[in-house]
Amino acid sequence: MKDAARRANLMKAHQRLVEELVQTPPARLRRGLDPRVQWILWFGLMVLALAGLVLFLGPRPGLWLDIQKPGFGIFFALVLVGGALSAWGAILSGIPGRSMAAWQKAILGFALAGLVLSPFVFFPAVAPDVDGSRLDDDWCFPLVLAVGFLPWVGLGSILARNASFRPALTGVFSGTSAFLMASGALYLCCPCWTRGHILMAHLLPVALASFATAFLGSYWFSRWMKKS
Amino acid sequence: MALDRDSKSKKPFGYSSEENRLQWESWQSLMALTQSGDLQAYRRLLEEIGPLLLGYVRKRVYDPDQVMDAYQDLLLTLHKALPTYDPKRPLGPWLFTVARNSLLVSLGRKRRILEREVQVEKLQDRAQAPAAEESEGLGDELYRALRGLPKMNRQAVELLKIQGLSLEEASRRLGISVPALKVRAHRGYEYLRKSLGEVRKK
Repeated sequence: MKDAARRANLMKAHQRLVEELVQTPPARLRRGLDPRVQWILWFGLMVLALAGLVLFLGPRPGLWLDIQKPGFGIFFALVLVGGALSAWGAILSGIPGRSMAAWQKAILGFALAGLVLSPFVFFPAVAPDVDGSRLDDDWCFPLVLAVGFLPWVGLGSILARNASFRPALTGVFSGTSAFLMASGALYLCCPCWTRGHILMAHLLPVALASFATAFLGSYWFSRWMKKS
Repeated sequence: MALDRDSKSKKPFGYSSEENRLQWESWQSLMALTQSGDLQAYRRLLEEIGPLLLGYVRKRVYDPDQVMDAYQDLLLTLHKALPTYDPKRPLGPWLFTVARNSLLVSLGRKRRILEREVQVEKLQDRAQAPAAEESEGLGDELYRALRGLPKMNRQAVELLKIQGLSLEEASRRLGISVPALKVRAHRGYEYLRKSLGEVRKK
């Protein structure tokens, strides 16, 4: 008896909810941007904006010759690969039923580990041709944070339209991507390519920012669930 | 439409694998039509996947009173996540990811609300324990605190805790959804807890 009443209630409540849901303006049900389009849109705009920034700040003297040296070139390539795949991971983490392929995860892991290890392998502890008194070097840490923030907001505003069930993970991926790309752009302008500087002024802010964006993301990227 | 789990007509797992495949393909096309703005297709889709989702919820939620809340939360989450579905991909993984996560969120929220409700009840119990005059004083304070609530929160608390209506009945009376009612009531409890806590300190 109680079961029958419960079942009847269920059916009534279901009908009422369906009636409410089908009143939604059709525009709100329209399909969002395809993940690949989201990625191309963000990554393309990001590369253009950061290229503009490099031109504005002025590239490091002798950049073209330096970047052809294997270690410095590999580091920059790892930044690009890490930034690109992190953005892809951030986008897919907001699409139910989708996630990065195993090979993509492996490459991302390899790129991030390589970024941390490569300064120990390729970068000198002290660079004799660098004037250590240059103030520019001190600005790298805050500049990475400042320059990375806007692209993160840009990426976040794309990701907030998705439906992430793991908002903190989306936050970490998006933060890693945006701040890593910013760090890469400033790497091209930075006059000081020494081990300590690369680790402390270029990679540490990326790690800290990714940590912070996990918290910010857990709020921002879960807001879609609270929408009425 | 029959939401009954025993209903054979809409039970996807009752079909042969070929029929099952056709059923999923039909839902995929309904999703595509929904995304192109066809609300009739949306209604049909919700009617057809309702039993499947309800079965999913029933298998995982043991408290019959929580089934309806979890099911409603699931439909709402599905509705909000709908723009992320790609009609070229199979519907199953998308649908069950939404269902699993919605259930986790919904049950987690329910647990937190229950914990807070217990705290308010404990406060009320404690208020009844002291001497009669103190008890009367707190009764007044409770009444005053209730009066101090914004209208929409007060209505929610009164219907649920004073009149003792169920969530469904109260939400019907206020003309709002059950999750919206829960939010209103929860804010009301928070306010009461704060006000009564201050009274106890005095």
